[in-house]
Amino acid sequence: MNICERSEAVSDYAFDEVSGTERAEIERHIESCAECHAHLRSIRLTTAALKAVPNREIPQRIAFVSDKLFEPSPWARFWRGFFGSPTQVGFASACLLAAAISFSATRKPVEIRTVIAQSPAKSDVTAAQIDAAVSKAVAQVHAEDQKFTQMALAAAEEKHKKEHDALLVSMRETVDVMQRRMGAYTSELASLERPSFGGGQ
Amino acid sequence: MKPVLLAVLASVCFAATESPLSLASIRAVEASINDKVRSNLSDPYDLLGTARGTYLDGYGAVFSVEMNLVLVSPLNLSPFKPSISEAEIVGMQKRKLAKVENLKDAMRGLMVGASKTLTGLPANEHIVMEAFLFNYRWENTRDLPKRIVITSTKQQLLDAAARRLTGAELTKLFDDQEL
Repeated sequence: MNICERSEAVSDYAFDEVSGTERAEIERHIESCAECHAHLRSIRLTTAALKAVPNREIPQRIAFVSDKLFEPSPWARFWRGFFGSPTQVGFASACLLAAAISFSATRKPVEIRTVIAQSPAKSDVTAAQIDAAVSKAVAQVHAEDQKFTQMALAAAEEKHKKEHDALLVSMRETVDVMQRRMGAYTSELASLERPSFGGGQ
Repeated sequence: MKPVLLAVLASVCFAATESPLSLASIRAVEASINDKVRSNLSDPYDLLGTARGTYLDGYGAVFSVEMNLVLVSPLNLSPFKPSISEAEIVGMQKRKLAKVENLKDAMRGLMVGASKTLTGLPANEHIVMEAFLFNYRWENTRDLPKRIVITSTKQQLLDAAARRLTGAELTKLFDDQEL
């Protein structure tokens, strides 16, 4: 492709960097020069293509795969390598199972020894005395429990009775008020139906 | 002779008990009291005993009415609402205290009206209005009266009606008692 000597001026025209008189002159030149026309067209295409590409942020950091940052740890490499192979996983499972069977076959059960401590023969406290003391303590706890239960029951009953009595009184009072209210209505209705007297009392 | 004596005695007795007030005028005042008690629609009184009027010979006309200052729902305490909160009790007392003065004003107005209705009542005799105020047991009745009795003479009431006295001036004419 030949380059016209005015191609630079055509570039300025394409980027709108020329004055009014110069613009008209360049436009006339472009119409007559095929090279400049093609140049202008290529610039416009490029500009349009660049505008179609979305804007991207400039990367803040560029790292290479060879960086140690991306290098997996030895444990991760082993893990990935081991579980990456189904054969290896199968082999390991079989080994584990065999080991478990061998261990359970060779292992002796733990012997549970029951040690009965014998009280000294010459002790002053006899079994009968211990039983008596335990029975006494249990009876005492039982009696206290019963006492507390009875007290709680009595308190609950008293509270319930008070609430019941208060409710009864309130209901009676309410019924009384309603009767009086009805009486007032009845009395007023009766006075409306009653013929008025013109005479003295 | 005996029947004649009896007839004379009976006529003397009837003459002694003859009332200057007509029954109709007393009934009219009673009706006006009942209407007034029921007229407050926003915060009505609870009329528990309609107005009853009577004439006491030589003293005047006495009207009594029984009411609760606040109309309370009948189920204020029930198995579904076994207790009344402290806030409700305090609120009720405040409402009642505020309504005592309103009731007294209403009673004074009714008495002024009654003085015009009770035409047969001598001017020097009294008109008395008594309100029995009901309170529930659960209420706090501190500072609340159980009875309000307002007394004035018919002449004073007629004068008040004629002069169209203001509330403060009208109050001076009455003898208020809170019992």
